[in-house]
Amino acid sequence: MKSVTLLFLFSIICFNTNADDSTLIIVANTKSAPIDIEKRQVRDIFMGNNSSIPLLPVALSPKSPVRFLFNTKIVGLTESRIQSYWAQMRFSGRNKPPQEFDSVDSLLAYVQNNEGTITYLPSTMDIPDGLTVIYSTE
Amino acid sequence: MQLKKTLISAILSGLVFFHLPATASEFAEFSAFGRIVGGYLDTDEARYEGYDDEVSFSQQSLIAVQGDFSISDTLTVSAQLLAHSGDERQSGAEWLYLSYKPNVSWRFKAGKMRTPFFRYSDVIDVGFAYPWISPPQQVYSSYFFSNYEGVSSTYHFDYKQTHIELEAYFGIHDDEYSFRGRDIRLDVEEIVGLLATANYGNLGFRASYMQSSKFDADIPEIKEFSAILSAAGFQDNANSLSFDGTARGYQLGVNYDSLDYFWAAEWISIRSDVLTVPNVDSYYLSVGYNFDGIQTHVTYAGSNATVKAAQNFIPKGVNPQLDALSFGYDNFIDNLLVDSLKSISVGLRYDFMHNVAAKVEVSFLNGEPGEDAFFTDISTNSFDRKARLYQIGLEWVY
Repeated sequence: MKSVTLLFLFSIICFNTNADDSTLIIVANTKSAPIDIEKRQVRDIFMGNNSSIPLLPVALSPKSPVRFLFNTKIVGLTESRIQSYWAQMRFSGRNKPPQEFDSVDSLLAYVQNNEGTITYLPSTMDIPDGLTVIYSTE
Repeated sequence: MQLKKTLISAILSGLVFFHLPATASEFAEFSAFGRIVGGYLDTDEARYEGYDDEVSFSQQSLIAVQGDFSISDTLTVSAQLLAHSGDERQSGAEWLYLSYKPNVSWRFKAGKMRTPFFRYSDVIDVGFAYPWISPPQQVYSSYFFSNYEGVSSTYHFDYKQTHIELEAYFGIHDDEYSFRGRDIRLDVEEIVGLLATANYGNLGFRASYMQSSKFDADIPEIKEFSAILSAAGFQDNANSLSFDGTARGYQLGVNYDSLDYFWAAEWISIRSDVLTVPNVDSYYLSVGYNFDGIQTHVTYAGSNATVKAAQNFIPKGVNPQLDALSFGYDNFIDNLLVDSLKSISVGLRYDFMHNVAAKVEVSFLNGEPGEDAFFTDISTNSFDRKARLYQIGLEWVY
């Protein structure tokens, strides 16, 4: 798994004009965003394991390279393990995975229009007014 | 036979079905899971999980559909319908409940639900959720009532950076089974369970307690023998075969997952004051490594079952009739199901789509000679309770 991850990161550095593509930012549509959120809290929000920060996570679909970065840098689990986890949660009636979008543009549009949502985006994206960057992997 | 045909067509249509785009609306959300599992046991002297020395795909293959219907922001009705290929499993509604979630911390449910004794008990049919093809039998077959009708409440909270979930449930169970070739009716009037999980990042802990009391298992051969003992005046012997009592189960589990590797362990203990329900201690330890998208696992599992000492009040050497009854009682006690088994399983899992996984697994089984050791249809006394089970599986969720 590590070699795949490294290869992926390497390919991003080589084939993208902007090396900052591998940096993720966590963005929330909230007027009262917590300012000192930690990586583990971000992970917990997206894995449905947080009861104290009232933000609704929205995500990218499994094919997205940005999601792959998020899995690797924030969640610390393979896509396979994350899918297994959500299968367990869904079919035992405990929880459901975050709503998923196929592109960062549609994801961003959704977050902009829905207060109280949180998502992850490449740091190279222009973040519109009204959204707050609350964490960066850099 | 007809059921098998229906099931196969259901599975085939399920294969087509999961290519369709997701069906979701504000009101209803549908999801599904399924598995096709084939297995071969390398002995002709017994069966294990239904498998024998002919390749079979109809022991663990299944398909299920789940519907979640929102009535309001806080109320949901959920139903899960399952079609199972195994002879010992019925097809039908596995879950059917009303869920009320007044806020982020609390969730209440009422209806028919799966019993969450162990880490994967309530998703035991969702092979996609775990690394094995066959979860360790020593742990996962230790309670054969897989669902209950009742109520549950769950409370979530964060303590520092640990997420804690507490659940309590209460209910009854009344169903008919085919268990190891016998038809059984099991009626449990009181099931009480408590469960706590704590997650700190990718490290998880789980502890649960379950108590079932006032249960009655209608196993004709036991009832008849008990009636004979009672008619002959040996009420203590007759009573010893009664199911009227309490069984308690304890579980502890720990698991850790990372990008590269995982490990998980569970330990369970069952204590009963009923002679016909043996005391059981079981555990497994699983470790795995992810090689370029292929997940591997090695699992060591064991169980130690003991039958409580029975007191035989029927004298021997008085007359042939009493001798027959007395030896019959001894023989009955000797033949109670006892399952002590050690096993090592080695398996691979490859998720070739985000919702489809292929698996292969080999289990080396080493049972206690003279006991059932989870084997069935043991055809020769000389069978050493050693066998290898080879399995392949395709798991999907949708």
